[in-house]
Amino acid sequence: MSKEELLNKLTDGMVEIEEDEVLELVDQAIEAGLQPMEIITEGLQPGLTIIGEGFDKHTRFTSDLILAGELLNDVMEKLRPIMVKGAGGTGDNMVIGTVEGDEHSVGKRVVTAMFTGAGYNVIDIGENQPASAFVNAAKENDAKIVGASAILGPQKPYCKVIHDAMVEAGIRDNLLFVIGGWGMTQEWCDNVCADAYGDTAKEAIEKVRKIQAGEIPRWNKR
Amino acid sequence: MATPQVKIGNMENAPDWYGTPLDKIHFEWSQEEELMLQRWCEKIAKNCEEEEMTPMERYHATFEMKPKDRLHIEVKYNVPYGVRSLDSWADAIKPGDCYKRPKLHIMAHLATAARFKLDIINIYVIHYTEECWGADGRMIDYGTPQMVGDPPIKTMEDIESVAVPDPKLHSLYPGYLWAAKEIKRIMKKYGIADKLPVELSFCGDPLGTVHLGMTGFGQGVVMMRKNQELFKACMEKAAAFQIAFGKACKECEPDGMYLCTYMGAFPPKVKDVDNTWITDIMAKVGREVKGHLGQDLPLWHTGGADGFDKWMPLYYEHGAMGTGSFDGMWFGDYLDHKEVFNYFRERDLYCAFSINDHAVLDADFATIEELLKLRCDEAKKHPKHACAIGVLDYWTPQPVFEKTMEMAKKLSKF
Repeated sequence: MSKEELLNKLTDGMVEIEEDEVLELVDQAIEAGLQPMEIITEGLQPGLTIIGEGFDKHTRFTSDLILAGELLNDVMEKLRPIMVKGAGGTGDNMVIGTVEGDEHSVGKRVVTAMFTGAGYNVIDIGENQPASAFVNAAKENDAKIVGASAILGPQKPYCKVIHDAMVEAGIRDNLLFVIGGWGMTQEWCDNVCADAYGDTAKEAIEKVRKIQAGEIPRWNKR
Repeated sequence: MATPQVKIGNMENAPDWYGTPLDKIHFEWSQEEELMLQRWCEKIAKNCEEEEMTPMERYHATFEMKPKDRLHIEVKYNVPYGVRSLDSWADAIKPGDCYKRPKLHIMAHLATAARFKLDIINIYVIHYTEECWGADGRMIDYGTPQMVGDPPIKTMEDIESVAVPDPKLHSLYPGYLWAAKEIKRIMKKYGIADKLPVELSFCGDPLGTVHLGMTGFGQGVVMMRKNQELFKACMEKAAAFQIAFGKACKECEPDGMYLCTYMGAFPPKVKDVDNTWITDIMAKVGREVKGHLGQDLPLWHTGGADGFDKWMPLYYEHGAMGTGSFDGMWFGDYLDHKEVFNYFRERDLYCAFSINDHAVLDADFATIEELLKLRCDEAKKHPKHACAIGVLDYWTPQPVFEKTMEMAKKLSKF
C-alpha cells in the first residue's frame, strides 16, 4: 500500500470511527516508516475535521466526537513511545488538562495530538483537574508549557487560579501558560494571565513557537 | 446474589448538613435575611402587576390553551447566573456556595426573579449523583459536584450490587428538596405563590445519570456500543432514581416540572447497535412521574443535545411524549426551530425554542431581536407554545439580559 493510500485509509477509518481498523493501520504506518506527525496531521486530523464539520451540520453526533477522542487517545498511546524530538518542535514537555468543574475532553485531545505531532511531549492529566494537579504535573515533568482547557463559562476564571498556583509554586516564570476552549478571547487571556490562547490547536502551536522565539511577548510583558 | 447496597461515596467539601434526611433538615432565617426575602417578594409582586396577566395566569393559560396577553417566557438562568444577582456581579459568592447552602440557593432565585421580572422561577438541580453509585465526589466553586477518581460502574456485578439512592435521605438531594419546599412557603407567606410559578427539575435524565454518576462520558459511550447489556442495566437503575426523585419533588408543590435530556448525543441506531429501547425507558419515567404528579401539573423535557430530531418521532411513538407522559419540550438552539414548532404543533404538545446563547453573551441585540421574533412568530401559532431564552452564560452582562427580557416581552405580545 502506498503512503497516500495508507493515509487515506486512516482518514476514512477515523471518519467511520473504526477502532480496530485505525489501530491496525497505525501499526502498518509505523512499520512503513511514517512519522507520527504525518500519521496525525495527514491521516487522522483530516478525519477529525470531517467529523467536526459533520457535527456542525448536524449529521454527526456528540458520541462521535467522544468516540473519536477515545480513539485518538488510543492512537497516541501507540505513537508516544516512538515520538522523537523534531518536526520543528523542541521536544519540550507540556502538561495539559481540563480545568476543575469541566469534563470536556475532545478539543483537548485534538490539541494534545497536534502538539505531540509537532514534537512536544504532552502529558494529559485529564478532565476536571484542580490547580494543584496542573502544578504537580508541571513540576514532576519539568514542563515548559502548561495548557488549560475551559469550555464552560463559570469555569473560565479557574485558569487564573491555575496561574496563581503556579506563581505560588515558583514555576510560573519557567513555563508558558496556554489556554483554550469555546469563547476564549484575548481579553480572557489577559484576565487570567495566560501567555496565549488558541482558537485552534494549530494557532496555539504557532503562538507558542512565536513566544519561545521572542516574537510575541509573554503575559507580563504585554 | 447479595442484596444491592446504597453506596454513597465520600463528598469532599460537603456542607455540614450533607447526608441529613429531608425530614431532619432545618435552617432558620435571620431577621436580616427575612427582610430580604420579604423585599424580593414585594418586588416580584410589583413586577407581576405591570402587565395584563400575572406570570401564573399566563403559565396556566399556556398549558390549558386559554387566551393570554403574550407568550410565556421560559429562561434557563440556573443557579450560576442567579448568584450574580446576590453579589452585584462581584464574582464573590460562587455557584458552589448555593449548592452547599440551601438558603443562599433560595435567595439567588428570588433575587433574580425580582431583578429581571421573570415569568417563572426555574429551580435547576444542584447535583447529578456523582458520588451516589460508588465513586467519591468533590464540591467545587464554579460548578456542580464532580466525580473523583474512576467511574464506579464497569461490570454487571458493579451495577447489580448498588442500590438506588433515596433523594429524601441521601447526598445533597434533601438540601435541594428543602430549598424547593421552603421557597414555596416563603412565596405563600408573602403573597406571591399564586402570582409567579415555580418549576422544579429532576435532572439528569437516565443517560445523564449514567454518564455523570456511573460510567463517565467516554467509557459510557463506548459501553453503549460494545456492552449493551451493561448499558441497559445502568439505564434501568438510573431511571429508577429519576422516578424516585421526580416523585419526591411533588411534595415541594411545584407549579411545573421538567427533566433535562441530552438524548440526541447519539443516534437511535449506530451501525449494528439499536438504542431505540431507550425511548421505552424515557416513557416509563414520564408515565410514572406524570401519574404521580397528576394530569394538571405540567411535566416537560428540556433538550440539551443536537441530534434530538432523530429521537423526536420515537419519543412520541413510544409514549415518552404525549398524554400521560411528558407534555412537551423546551429546546436549546440546536435544531431547525420551524420544524420543531411544527412537529409539536401537529401533536398538540408544549414547546419552547430558545435563542442562541452566544448572541446574548455577545450582546448582539440585532441578532437577539431577529431570533426572538422568528421564534415568537412560530410560538404564537399554538396556545401551548412559549418563548424561550437560555441557558444564560455566567458572563452575560445583566443589562444585556434585562434588555433581552424586555425585547422578548414586546415581541411575544399578541
